[in-house]
This record gives sequence, structure tokens and C-alpha cells, in this order.
Amino acid sequence: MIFAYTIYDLLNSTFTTMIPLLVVAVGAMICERSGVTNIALEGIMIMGAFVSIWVLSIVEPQTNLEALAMSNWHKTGLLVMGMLVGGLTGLLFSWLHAYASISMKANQTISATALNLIAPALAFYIARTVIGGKQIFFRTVFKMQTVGFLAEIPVIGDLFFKRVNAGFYLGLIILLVAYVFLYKTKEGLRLRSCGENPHAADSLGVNIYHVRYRAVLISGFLAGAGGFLFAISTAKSFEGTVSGYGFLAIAVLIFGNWKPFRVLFAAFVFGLMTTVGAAYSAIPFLSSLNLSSDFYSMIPYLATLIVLAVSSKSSRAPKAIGQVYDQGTR
Amino acid sequence: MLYSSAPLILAGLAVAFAFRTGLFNIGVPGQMIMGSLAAVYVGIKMTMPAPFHWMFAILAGMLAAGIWGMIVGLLKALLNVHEVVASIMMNYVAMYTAFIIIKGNRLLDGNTGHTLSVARTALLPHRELAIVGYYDLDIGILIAILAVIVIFIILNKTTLGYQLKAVGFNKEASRYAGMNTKRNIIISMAISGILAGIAGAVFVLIPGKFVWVTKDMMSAELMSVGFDGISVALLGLTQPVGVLFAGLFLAYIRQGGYYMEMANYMKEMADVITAVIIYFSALSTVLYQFVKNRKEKQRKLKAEKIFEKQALASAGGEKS
Repeated sequence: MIFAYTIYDLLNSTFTTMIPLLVVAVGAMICERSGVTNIALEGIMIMGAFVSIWVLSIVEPQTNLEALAMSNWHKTGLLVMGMLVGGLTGLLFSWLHAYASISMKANQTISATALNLIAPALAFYIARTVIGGKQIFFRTVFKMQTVGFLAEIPVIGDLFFKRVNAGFYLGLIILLVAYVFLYKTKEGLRLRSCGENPHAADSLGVNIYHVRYRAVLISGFLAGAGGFLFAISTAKSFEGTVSGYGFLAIAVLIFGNWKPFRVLFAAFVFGLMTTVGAAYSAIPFLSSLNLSSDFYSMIPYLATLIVLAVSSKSSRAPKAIGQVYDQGTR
Repeated sequence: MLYSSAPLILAGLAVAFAFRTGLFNIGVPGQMIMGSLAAVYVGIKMTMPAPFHWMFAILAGMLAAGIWGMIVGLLKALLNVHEVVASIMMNYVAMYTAFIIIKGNRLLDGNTGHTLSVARTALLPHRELAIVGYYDLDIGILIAILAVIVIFIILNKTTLGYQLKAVGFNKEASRYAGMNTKRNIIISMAISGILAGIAGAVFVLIPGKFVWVTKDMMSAELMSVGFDGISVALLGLTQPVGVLFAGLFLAYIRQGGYYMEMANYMKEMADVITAVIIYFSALSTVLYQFVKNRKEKQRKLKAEKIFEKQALASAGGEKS
């Protein structure tokens, strides 16, 4: 009997691909709601993924046998560590963007583009100097076969508690926290006001620069952590690229109309597209169509375009987005 | 250096042109892919006498890339799709489309994973050195300089250029002044795409160049030139003439990186250097502001002094 590709498998891979997108998109959401565009996410993800995978390859068990025998807690511990390391790297790296675009009032697109250019070059450079090759390999399999007793619940157990890594739950928690932060706290209200009308917010005593700095740094942290999640979701090595996920995350954000739960839905749709594109040969209906594999690789990007074309007309970006805030102007 | 600078200048010009009209065309790599694909297609599949063949190949490249760029413009103008995200997606779509077309149309060299060589008549006129396969000059740089001049004239001397710039500067105001902003966005992206198409064509229509059909090689070759175009445009302060020199400069750094690699350094160093330069050129706006403010202050001070003197003089006059 050939391995049948069930709906469970499809959703399972979808969850794996959507989580990095979700985490990064949430970061982008916080950043953009404060009025700073951040198309440097791609570069930040690369840096975060690079440093965290590097650290991971040092601290993880050094033989395959040990790596296979790891307990769920051990895996989760390593995962949280990776996210933290990646996040901190991303935070530091995004500081450059924050400094240029907020303190120095540079064009946000240009400074972000510079970061996108620096990141892969720097990662390669360090990798080849210190490690001696472009690729960094790691052994840990982060997927947990079953998550304790929860996996025994009939349908939900199969869906959410089998063959997932802890990043899935952490990603959802991050989304919830972001929602509460943006809509239920004073800080969140201030942040949103900075993205809509910074001058009004300023007149009410909100320090625009501080709020925006914080927002950019948070997005840097999440993008770095997302970079780590991306790296562990795809292969067993990191090669200095995140395949445009930083940009895809921005597309997710736009499709999600800058709102937390619509972003979740958008991330799910994109994850599904990517999965279908990658696993077409296992889906009987699609493999019988006999199209070239390049076509399926194209699907996520093409779908993004179509989705954006349909949804952008009614989307409402934060008003002050991309504008440099200068106290002196009115 | 001169021949590697031609695609760079053209790609930079494409980005710069869009930038002047308020659009960030990060889709130049994809447009270059389409341009080079069309050029290669013409180069392989058609037979024509020499001067027409390569001209026609470039024209085909311009057409393909122009349409590719126009799609982004249409999406932006009619459906309000953010052009940065749209054009990045178009880059990937372009890459895979190119693979499909190359594999489907027997342009593929079965053994090596890249396209066949184009016919000799389709190559750009170039000077060949005695060493086989090595050459150092073609007319690519002349085409690039010509393009710079044309774009300079369009931007600075024509109504179209004025309109395009006005839309980039303030969309609402130019609409109020009776300009068709949507049409201008589409035209601007199409022109930008056409320039990228020339870049792509010039990049492949030289001896020994192919279009690869593996993702890594494609992004290492064509796409990296396209992304370098962004650096060139930003370094050239998005002015056509500035782009020309920035392109030469970057080609120089790239070539330097290439030679450094021979001496056991890493060529990624060149990327790092470029990126750092761009980062600081982004910061330079503050420097401008600073210098401007100081000048303003000094002028004010001077004016005040003169005013005081006059006041004193008039006061003295009253006394006497």
C-alpha cells in the first residue's frame, strides 16, 4: 500500500509552514501599526536564523543517535532557546533600521533595503570565515510525535497534537499576546495612534520616537525568532536564505488587513498554498494533472499575487505608514 | 569592468526611473529574467543577418520585460496592490515561468542545465581578444550610456517626465492638476521594465552566457545583478547621470571582489561593503538637513546683525 496523503498530513504540513510566516507577520503588524514600514524583515530573518542555527549546532546532541532519543522537553527547550537567540539577534539587527529610519529620519525603504543586502552577505561571510562553509547542519528533529495525553483526543489530537513542534503553540501564543497588547493595553493604543496620526499623538504627550523604536525592535525580535522557526521547518541545514518568507510575511500582513486574526487566517491560506505547491506529487488529483514541478513551485507566489489583487482594493493601511516623523513639521 | 557595468547601469536606471516617479521597483530582477529569456529565445530560434538579429533580440527583451513591469503597474494603479510586494512575487513567478518556457521549448542544453548558446549573429558586437573565449569590450556600455541620456531627456525635458515626477512627488496634487495618475503609474512601471529588459538582454547576449534553469544559479547570476541595480540606483541618488557613475563604481567593487577571491579573500566582502555604503547613504539625508539648517541659521544670524546695525544706525541718527 502506497503512503496515502491524508487531509491530516496536508493540514499538518500547513501548520509547519504557516508558523514562521505568522510570527514574522505579527512582528510586521506591530511595526507597521506604529507607522514604520519594515521590508527589512527578510534580512532580519536571515540574521536571526543564521545565528540561532549556529548556536543550535553547537549546543545540541552531537550524534544522530542521541538526537533521535531526545525527549519532548529537551526539544522544546532547544526550540525556545533557538527562538530567543534568533530573536535577540533580530532585535539587535533591527536596531540599525530603527536608528536610521527614526532617529536619523532616513527613507524607511532605503534603510530596510540596505539591511536586506547586508544580511545574506554578512551571514555568508561569517559562515565561511568561522565555520568554513556556507551551510550549517543540525541534527535535532523538533517535531514531537505525540504531545502527551492530548494526542489521544479523537480528531483534535490528530490535528493539533501529533507531529508538531512546540513553535506551533508558541506562535499562537505570540499572536494572542500581540492582540491583547495592541487592543487591550494603553501601550497598544498609543502605538496604534502613532501609526494613524503621530502629530495628534505627540500633542497628547506620547513620545513617538520611543514608541516607534519599541515597535521596530519587537518586530526585529519576532522576525529573528521567525527566521529560526523557518530554518527548522524546512531542512536540516541552513544555507543563508529564507526563500522570500520575509516578503511573504508582508504580503500576509496586507492580506490580513493589519488585523491580528485576519493575519492568522492569511498565514493559514499561504501555508496551505505552499504545502500544496511542495507536496503536489502526493496528492492524487494534482499529480494526475501532469504539470511541470516548476509550476507548483510557482503556486505560492502566484497565489499571493492573485489574493493581493483581490483583497488590496478594500485594505486599509495605517495612515501614517512610511512617513518619517519630524516634530518640527505639522 | 566596462562590460560587467553595462547591465548594472541599466538595471540601476530602471530602479532609479521608477523611484523618481514614486515607485519602488524591486521587481527589476524578474523583469531582467523575462528580458534575457526573450532575447535568448530570439537568439536561438530565429535566423537573421547580424545587425538586425541582436537588435531584434534586445527589442524582444524590452517588450517582454516591459509587459512584465506593466503588470505590476496595472496591479498598483487599478487594484491598489503594494508594488514592492507585488514585484517581489513577480520575481519568483518570472523565474519559474522562465524555467517552464526554457524546458518546454527545447532551449535547454541537455547536459549542462542551462540554455543553448545564442547564434553568433545575435551576440552584441564586441572585440574579441586572441585568447579564445575571453573578451573585454562590447557595445553594452554604449547602449547603457545611450539609455542614460534618453532617460535624462525624458525625465527633465518632456511633459511626460514632468507628469511622472509630479505624480511621484504628490499624487493628490497632480490629480488635482488634471493628470491621469493611474496611467502615469502604468507607463512608469512599463518604462522601468523596458530598461530592465535591456539590462537582461545585454547581460545574456555576450559570448559564453546562458540562462540557467536551476534556482541557485539563476538567483546567483541574473537576480543578483537585478538586486545590485537597486544599490546602483540608491548610490546614484536616483539621478540618471549619478546612476551611470554608481554603476561603474559598483562594477569596479564587484570585479575587485572577484579578484579578491582569487587571493583567498571572500567575495561576499564586496556585498558587505556595498550594503554598508547604501546604509550610510540612507543616513546622509540627515547630513543634508544638518548642513541646510546651519546655513539657514548663519543667514539668519547675518540678517539679524545687519538689522541690529541698521537699528543702531537709525537710533544714532535720531540722537544727533
